[in-house]
Amino acid sequence: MSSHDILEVKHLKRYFNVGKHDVLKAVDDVSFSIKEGETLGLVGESGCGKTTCGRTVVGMYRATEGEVYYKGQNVHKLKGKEKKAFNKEVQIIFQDPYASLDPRMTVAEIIGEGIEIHDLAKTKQEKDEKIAHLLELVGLNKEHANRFIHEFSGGQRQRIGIARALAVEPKFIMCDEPISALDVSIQAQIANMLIKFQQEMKLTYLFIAHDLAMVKHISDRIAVMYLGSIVELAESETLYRHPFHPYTEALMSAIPIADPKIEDSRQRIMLEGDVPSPINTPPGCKFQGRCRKATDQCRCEEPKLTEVEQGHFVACHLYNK
Amino acid sequence: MSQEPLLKVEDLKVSFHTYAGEVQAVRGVSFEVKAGEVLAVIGESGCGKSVTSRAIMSLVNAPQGEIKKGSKILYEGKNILEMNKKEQRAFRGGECSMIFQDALVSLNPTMKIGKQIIENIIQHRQISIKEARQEAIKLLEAVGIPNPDKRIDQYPFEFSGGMRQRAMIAIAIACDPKILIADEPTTALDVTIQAQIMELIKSLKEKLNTAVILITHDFGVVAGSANKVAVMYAGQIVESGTREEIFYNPQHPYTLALLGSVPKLEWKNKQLLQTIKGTPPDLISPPKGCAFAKRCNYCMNVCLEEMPENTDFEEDHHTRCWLHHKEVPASIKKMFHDDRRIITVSENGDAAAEGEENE
Amino acid sequence: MNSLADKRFELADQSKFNADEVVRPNISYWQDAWRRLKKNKLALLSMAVLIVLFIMSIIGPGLSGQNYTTLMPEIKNMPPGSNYWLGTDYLGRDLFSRLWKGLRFSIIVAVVAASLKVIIGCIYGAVMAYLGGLVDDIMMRIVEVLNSIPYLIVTLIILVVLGNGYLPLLFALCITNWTSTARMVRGQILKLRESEYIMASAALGASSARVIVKHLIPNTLSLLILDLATSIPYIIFDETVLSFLGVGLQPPAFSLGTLLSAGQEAMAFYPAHLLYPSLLLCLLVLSFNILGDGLRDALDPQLRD
Repeated sequence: MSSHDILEVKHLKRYFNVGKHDVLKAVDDVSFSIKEGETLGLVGESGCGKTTCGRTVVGMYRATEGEVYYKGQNVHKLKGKEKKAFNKEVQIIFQDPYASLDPRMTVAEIIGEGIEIHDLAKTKQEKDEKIAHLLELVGLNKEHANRFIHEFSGGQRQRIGIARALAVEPKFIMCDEPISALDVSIQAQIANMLIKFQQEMKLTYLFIAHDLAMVKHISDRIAVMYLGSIVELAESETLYRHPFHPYTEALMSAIPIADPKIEDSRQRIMLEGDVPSPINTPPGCKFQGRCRKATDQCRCEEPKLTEVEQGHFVACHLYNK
Repeated sequence: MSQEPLLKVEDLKVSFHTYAGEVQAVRGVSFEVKAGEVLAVIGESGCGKSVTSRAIMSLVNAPQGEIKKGSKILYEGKNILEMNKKEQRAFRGGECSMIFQDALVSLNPTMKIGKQIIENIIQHRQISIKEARQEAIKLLEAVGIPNPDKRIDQYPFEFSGGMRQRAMIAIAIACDPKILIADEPTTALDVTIQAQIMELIKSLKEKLNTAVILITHDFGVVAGSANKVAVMYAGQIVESGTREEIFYNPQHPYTLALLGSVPKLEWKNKQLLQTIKGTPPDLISPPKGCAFAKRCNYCMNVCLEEMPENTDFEEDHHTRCWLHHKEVPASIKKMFHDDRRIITVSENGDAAAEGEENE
Repeated sequence: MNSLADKRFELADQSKFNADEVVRPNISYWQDAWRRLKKNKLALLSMAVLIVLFIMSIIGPGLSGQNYTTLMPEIKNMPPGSNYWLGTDYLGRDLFSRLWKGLRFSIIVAVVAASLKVIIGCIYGAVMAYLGGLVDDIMMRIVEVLNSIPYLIVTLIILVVLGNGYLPLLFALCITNWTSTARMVRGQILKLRESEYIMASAALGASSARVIVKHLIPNTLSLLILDLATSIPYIIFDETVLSFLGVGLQPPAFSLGTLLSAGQEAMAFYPAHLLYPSLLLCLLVLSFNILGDGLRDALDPQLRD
């Protein structure tokens, strides 16, 4: 752990009991750290536990085992004032712009909630000014403040959600698929906004998504999750150019590219079948059922995440000598 | 490609009546599809692409929905909109079928997968249930579902997302339709599954020589599968042409902006993307000029006042934009061409490099 | 003209554009619900009928100026006339006045009982949902046990133990009805607690009290109003049945149910004595039901167009 790490996750586990005997291992022994000012992308297919992981990291869910340290403090043991201070520094941007805003509230009430909770404005006028400023930041204007949420489009709502998160001047934002529910042109708008705010306000992001092209674009480093575990973690450029793990390879080759010539000429690595259920996973590597390169070792022994090259971690027996 | 078009849509106008007024969801759309061809209709949500497909399937219901007079949807020369209910039903499901975005909602949850396929077969063909069952097993196999003879007696909830989508495709192709409408078939799926489903649709098209209307918002999906592309915005087709023309020689600022807003994998990290400011207009009161004008970087005074005419380019390439008017000053045209070079040339340049790397 | 033509192909002034314009009217959820209710003509009509009935239940008894409480055997069973607009009953009391007075009591009992039911159910359900775990389990079992006893038996036992009268009747009507509200509120709060906007509020550091006041209550209110509106007709029925059976209100107090009961005894010779309260009861319950349906359509966000 270097001194620049703002967040450190150590052997985090989050299990859910399903029925009497079954255990769903949504997050299974995940460790990573995020440096101040960087963006860590967390990608994976639906059901791989990335959202659960993100929510456990910011303390919305309890951890079954393991710890999360934010600036050296254990996130799950915070109480009272410390908890409130943590809530001011760590914010969430949600996936669904329709479900994440209270339908009975006006825009000003939504954005103003954080300002009220943390007493960031002395007077009503100061609060209104703050709200107007935040609206402007996300490309809306103060005429929108008194409107109700149901009159806005998905992209506009997402911008309001971002303004709500920014209202408390956070340092760290967990972006839970903030763009996947939006249209292409709006995705770019939001992505640009996030990039710009990061540079201007020195924000740190944990960016969860399944859209690899966008994640690659936004993130400094990317962690690939499969069935609750991180299978590969590397600089985003490295991960895209030279993926090691067979799953990452397949994932990269499945990204559709908006260029007919490339699309016509490329050879896809097709994965067989679907992601297996995360309930009661068999021993061994979780990917072995769909892996073309699986060996006997993969079937009985679970590979550990190890550093294969400088800053490039892989959990695969092919690379663990 | 000189054969007759299988389906021809002419000046389709669809409106929905809501409390706030009349929403003009589709405002004069025309296109055609030939057998064995994939037409991709691309656009953002609310642009009318799904409504268009619903109109073809006669799924626009009164009293809220209304297809305006003068609209024509010609299938082999016959206007679907003037058919009676029975003919429409025979067309829908028999000649033309549809795959929806959300397979979980579109499949009947209380009915076995097999039964849903068999029902569709019996409705349109004169065969016994036993034969239909055999047929259904064959179909499930054709769409790549393992153990079809066991899977046929399972319920939709026992299928995973990708499998459900396959099952829905099996239902859709049960009656050898001539036209397959795929409405965002892969939007709800993960990338690896999306790749599988798109492969499946492509191979089925080759095998059965169906015409496919692919409705999507994803340029990546379009690049991999379409022959022709129509770009829709605010209820109108703003540009249409072959796949290559649209990707490498776009003539409408909206198409260009859409292309520029998809991050390319070879682009520099955190480089700002091309964005389109604002949001699409509310079709309750569509602007009188070009609908894109207020979001367009090259917006001229005329764009705000008058609707642009169609401009034709070679190879079936059409666009609706004032930029191609002869009176437009060269400086503005140059702006557009310069921007286009940034977005499309880098793509061409890298395309070659990319191709080598993949081999 | 020429200069105008030239300007057409000049770049427009982009600074004036507002591409994020919202053209739809700015209306709150409640305004929107009211707008939708206004479109429902039948619901509006039933609302008007209810208002008339309310007013009549207040001023009706005094309108004819005739006595309706003391027994006057010499004028019993009079046909309708200029003095007694609807005639008199078997004890010589003015039927017209009695009808409205009975309606007044029926409405008061129904509204009070329904409000109590909603309040009790709401608190119970909220506590269940909020505490969760073992407490939730135990409280839920209590609800189930209550639900498994036929309501008539419970009511009868209560009335027998506590005696007849307003308060026991209200108590009896509440105790048998609040469980459905409790379940509904519990379900709604559990759903809301999982919702992303509550999570967002918690992530901002909001206290439980704040979450309850700002998010949970406003988002449950419409359901409660709906519950109130739809349970009133049921409670009117319950009360009528009990009074009809003779275990509800006892003379001299009376409601529509007691009038019906008296009317039924005189039915063979004076069918009108049964007819008037029956008609009024039908009108009242029907109006409440139609209004309840209208409210459901108006308040259900799923049906937003």
